Amino acid sequence: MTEFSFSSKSRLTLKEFEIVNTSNYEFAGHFSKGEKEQDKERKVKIVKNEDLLLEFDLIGYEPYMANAVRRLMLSDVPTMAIEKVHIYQNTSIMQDEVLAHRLGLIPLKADPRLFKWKEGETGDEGTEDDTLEFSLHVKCKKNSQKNQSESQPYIDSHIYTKHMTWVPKGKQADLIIEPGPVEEDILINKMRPGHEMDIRMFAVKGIGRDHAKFSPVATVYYRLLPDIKINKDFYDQDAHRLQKCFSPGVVELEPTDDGRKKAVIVDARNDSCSRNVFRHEDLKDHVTLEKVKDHFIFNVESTGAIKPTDLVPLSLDVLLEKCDHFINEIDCQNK
Amino acid sequence: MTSLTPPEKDGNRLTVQAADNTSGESCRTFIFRKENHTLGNCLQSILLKNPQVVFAGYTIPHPSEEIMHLRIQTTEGYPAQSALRKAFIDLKKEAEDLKKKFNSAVQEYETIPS
Repeated sequence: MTEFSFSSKSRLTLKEFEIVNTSNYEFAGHFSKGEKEQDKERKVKIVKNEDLLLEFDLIGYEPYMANAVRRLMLSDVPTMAIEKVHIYQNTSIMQDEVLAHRLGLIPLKADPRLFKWKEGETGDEGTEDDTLEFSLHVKCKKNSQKNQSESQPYIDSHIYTKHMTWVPKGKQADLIIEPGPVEEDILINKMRPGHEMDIRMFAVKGIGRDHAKFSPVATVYYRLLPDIKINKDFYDQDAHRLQKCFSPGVVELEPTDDGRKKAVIVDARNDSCSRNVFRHEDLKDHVTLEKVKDHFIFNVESTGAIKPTDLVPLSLDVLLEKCDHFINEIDCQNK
Repeated sequence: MTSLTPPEKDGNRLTVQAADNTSGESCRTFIFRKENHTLGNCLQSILLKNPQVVFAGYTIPHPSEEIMHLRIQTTEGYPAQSALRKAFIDLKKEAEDLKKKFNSAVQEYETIPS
């Protein structure tokens, strides 16, 4: 079996007119590394963990795993979202169906794991196990207070998600803590005096594959870690031009002993790989732009229903469930 | 604890289609319903790591239908179905491993004094 030199093949090179070495050499009979060796090299590192944003690195994993995690988070992790809207009164300018569509897109802060999947037979209202009910009843009036009528001529002319109220069903009040929209200031509708909205909404559990409103992430994406090498020393003017080719923070000008400033790569991670270097004839031949093929920089932004640090394990749980389901089917078919 | 995947009402999601009588147990096309690249690419890559697998590939015949075909050809005496089962087990192991590593990375991040 031929042995490949992994140092040169583990990098994807960005040239002026092409991208080289993109494939992972996957074909039957080609063995990359042993299992234990692979496991030692595999790492997960959290870089940034804020309220709704998570940035983490997957090192040593293969593209199918990274892509599976990304796709699962986008389309297979369940959330709650408004599905059925009963409109009793809507005299506002916005059409019923447009209003219903907007209500469906509102992200709801409710843990989907506490709810069952809604079976088709229970009707729109649903049961306490599978449906969350909300109510929106607002009427726009003229502001009768004389001192305010210049700046605020109408009361309740802008309808925000804070006007939505939860209507607990059955034992939900004991089990669930204050479900509701994630943000209070999402604008739903605008009205004028005399307009009224009286709406009952029913939220159910669903997955992103069915409708994008059920997706728990604003978005999730990954990119490969860039690796930039400068093969020749550049000073002063050239160094400054080289610095401008890359994103800020990638190249720094360091003072040398003889008073000049040399271009040095400080942190290639921030680079957005715009390949701007290739526009400069004198700089392009001395810079190598590469990407590390097994280092994935993930960026997860949650809509607020589930924390991003819970989303990644959840997506892997979905994958495990799928595997269990099919192993079960295979075993049943064999009997 | 309710399941994370929606309940299945229409019967089996995996059916098997054999190529022809001469190839015996070692050639199979598996038809998955309601699956796509998420599972297909994973299974294909893991199957290719198995030294007894001669051919492994997946395809989605039409994007409007959620159907995935996975073709496995193995060496003599090794049933294609065992290769598939092993691939699922390996995938499970990898996913559990990643979950463990991720959770310990989150713990590590939280214990670092900012």
